[in-house]
Amino acid sequence: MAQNTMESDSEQERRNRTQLSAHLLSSLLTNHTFDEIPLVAFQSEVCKTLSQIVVACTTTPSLNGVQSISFARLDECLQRVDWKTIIEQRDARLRPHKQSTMNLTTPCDVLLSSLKDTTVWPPACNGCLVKVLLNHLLFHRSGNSIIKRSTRCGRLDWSPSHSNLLDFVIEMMQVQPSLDANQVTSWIRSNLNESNKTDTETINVAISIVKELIRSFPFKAIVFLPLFLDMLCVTEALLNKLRSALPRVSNSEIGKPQVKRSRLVHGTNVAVLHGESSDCEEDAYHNRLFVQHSNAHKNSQSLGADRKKILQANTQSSTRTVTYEQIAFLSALRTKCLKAFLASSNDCASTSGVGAVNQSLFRIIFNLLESQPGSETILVRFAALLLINANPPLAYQKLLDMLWSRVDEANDPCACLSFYVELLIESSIFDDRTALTTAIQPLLDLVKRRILNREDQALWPNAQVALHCLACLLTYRGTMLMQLPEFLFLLAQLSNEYPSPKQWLLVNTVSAPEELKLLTSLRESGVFGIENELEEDGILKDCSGSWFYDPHRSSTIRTCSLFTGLASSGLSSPWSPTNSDPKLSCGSQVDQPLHPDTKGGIALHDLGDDVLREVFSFLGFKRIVFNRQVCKRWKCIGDDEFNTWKPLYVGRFGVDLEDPLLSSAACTLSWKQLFMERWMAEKEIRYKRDKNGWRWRLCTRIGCLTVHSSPSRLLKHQSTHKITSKERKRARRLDATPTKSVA
Amino acid sequence: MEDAIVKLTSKEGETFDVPRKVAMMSKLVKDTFSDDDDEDDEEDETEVKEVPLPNVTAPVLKKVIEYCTHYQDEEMTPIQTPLKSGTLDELVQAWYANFVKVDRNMLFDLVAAANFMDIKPLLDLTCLAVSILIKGKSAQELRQMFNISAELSPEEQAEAQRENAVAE
Repeated sequence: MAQNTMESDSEQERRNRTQLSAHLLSSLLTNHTFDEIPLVAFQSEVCKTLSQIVVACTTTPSLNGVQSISFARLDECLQRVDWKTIIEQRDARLRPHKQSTMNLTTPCDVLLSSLKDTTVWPPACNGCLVKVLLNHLLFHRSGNSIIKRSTRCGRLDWSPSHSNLLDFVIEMMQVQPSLDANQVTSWIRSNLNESNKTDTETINVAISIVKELIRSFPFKAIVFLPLFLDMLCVTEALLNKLRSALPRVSNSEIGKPQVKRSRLVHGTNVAVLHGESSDCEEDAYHNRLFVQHSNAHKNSQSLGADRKKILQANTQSSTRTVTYEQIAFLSALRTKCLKAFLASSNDCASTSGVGAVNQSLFRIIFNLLESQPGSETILVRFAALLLINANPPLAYQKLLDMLWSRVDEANDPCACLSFYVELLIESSIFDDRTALTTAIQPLLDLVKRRILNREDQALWPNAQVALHCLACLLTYRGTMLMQLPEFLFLLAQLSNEYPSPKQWLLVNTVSAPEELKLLTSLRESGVFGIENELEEDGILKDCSGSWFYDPHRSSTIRTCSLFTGLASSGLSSPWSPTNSDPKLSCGSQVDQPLHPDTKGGIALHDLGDDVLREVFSFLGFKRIVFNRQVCKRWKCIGDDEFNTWKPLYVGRFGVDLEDPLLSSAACTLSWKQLFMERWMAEKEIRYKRDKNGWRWRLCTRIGCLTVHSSPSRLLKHQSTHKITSKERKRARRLDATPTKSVA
Repeated sequence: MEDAIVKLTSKEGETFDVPRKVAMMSKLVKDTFSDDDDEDDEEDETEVKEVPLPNVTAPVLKKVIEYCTHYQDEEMTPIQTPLKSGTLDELVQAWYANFVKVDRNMLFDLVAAANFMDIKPLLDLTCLAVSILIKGKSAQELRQMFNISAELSPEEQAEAQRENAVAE
């Protein structure tokens, strides 16, 4: 066919040939009469044509003999191929042969198989072919026939031809080690970069391609991850664009419909990502970064219905206005992706070692954070999500360091600072006292330097951001922070300098209920104590005292007042209570002034209950009872049935492990009471002996305090437990008064 | 792999070179490794690993390493509860008894470090030492020692005292 034009070497002719070959290929593949051509002949024809295309138009001999490939030209050629028609024809041919699909060779299969043939297609060209194919995958979706429902990113929704193309790409990668993951990723990237028609669908396709690649090459998952995250970030960017088109919800006038809207808009965050959905009743959390607000109808179950609605809306209305549902849907989509991805990363973890993927994900996220200043928000959220789900060791410190290093560099230090604080508040890692103490230290140092000592004030023109952050911390982490002397000290100093509530809050960044919450905690901790000041500002006018002593709030904040904290930490206070309101100190009774250990160091109380329990486990029960007088926390441990008293009981009296009481009611037994009763009963008979000198004993069964004055009686009695143990299981419960009788 | 070195970095940034086997007594270090190992086995097989310990000061870390090193030669016998004796020397080997004869702040720091680095035998030993400190102290002495306030209401206080009287 086209061979006769092969001999000439001039550039012009080569170009002509290109077009000719492409035309040939295209017409060959779309030829309506190909049914008549025997398949073998057809295949060889395709091979010939393709080899011509490759040799003639995509390679240019260079000086050192290495063939360089013109991507553009090959792309051009392949673009001329009418894929849609080929596929339609193939499908048409497939239909009557459903039963023998496997053996049937269709034009598309022929094309693909001939592409695999190394004699036809020089291996060096595979790269460029893959790139072109990827391009096709990404952009050439001619209507519904290619991707039926492109809003979903599952491969199931793909048309067979697209699936085949992807299979082909994957197969190529398996056959040819030179086509490594790095290169493929870079091709996908360059494909996306070169095109300016990147839209949500393209991104979704890209996401599903990457997902497929990760599934096929679990060991190379790490290489594909950055791209995957990038794609998700792009989706986020689109989301943000959509979101910015929405009318802003102002703080002052939260009408009913607006509340609803803001809930939806805030539905895109970490909490959603890990499947939490807090109820919308807590309006106070509205503007919190990591907290999700979904109303009952917008949970994941109803996603399917939502999608239908959206699709309908799209087809019905010609003008594609952005709806809130769309945003909710898109965010849910992204959520699903990441969730699925995390799940698959667990699969990877099982093959390549626990945590390896998560660890490297972190590295990737950090690299991205460094290289892409624009997308911090979403990346930090991803990191936070990972932190919550996977918790790689010491990762939170890296994340915090990263955030921290940006506070001074970033254009918007306030945002960084708020992020830092949000992370401290929301991440469960900081429920651990040590972690929180370590993480909060730089913040305290900075605030001290900037605000109290007024260094580098140009960077931080107003102190409000920092004060606001401190107020948030106080509200949500107050219980722990109040035991941190530096925090108390700083707060006390600040409260002297900034006496007005207005200075402590960033107006218009938080919702009204949140603002109230912050104010309450500030006031309860004694940072400013005079009520009328607040009332003057009109902040508290409409809420009469009821919120102040809200019974549902934990009393911890109140007991952790600045005054108490300073007193117990033993710091000489630079702060004097501005009024003598007894409420200020009523939260706690410091029975006597303390003479603290001035040497400092770590107070044992900064460590968790577990450590304290460990210490207590070495103490006798008398000491534990005695220690209950020392303080609340020690009392709690001294009252802990399961963790303190059960081991004591077991250690001292021993238990029969097969005792049905242990399995049936193990959690409800009052081990302390059991212990004390048995202990007293033993005390009574401790000097009693029978005539042979045998010490009197109690029945060893839990809760049975019968006393036995001879070995035979004890044996006889215990045999009754064996026979009736099952029937009496319930009657022998602890709450029944133990019978005391001398047998 | 046997003679590999791990770098432990204290709060101040001081770095201690510790044999891998010794450092592995800390579950924190161990976890860090087991994650790293599978992941970069091609690249940095030979690289010396560094583990930051931002909660542990240099003197404390030094003491912890001392403990872990000695543990390799003479394993500490597990402490049996209920305790058979009230003195350290009768509960653990002499070296370990002497190891925790330090001032109170150091002891508390050691507890914190053992907890953070997750070294169970060291945590046991230091907690035992703390529990021995507690013995025989009055409530007020204990509050001072641990730098805490009572926070108990008079009723709670009375109740606790009553129960204590029962136990006496």
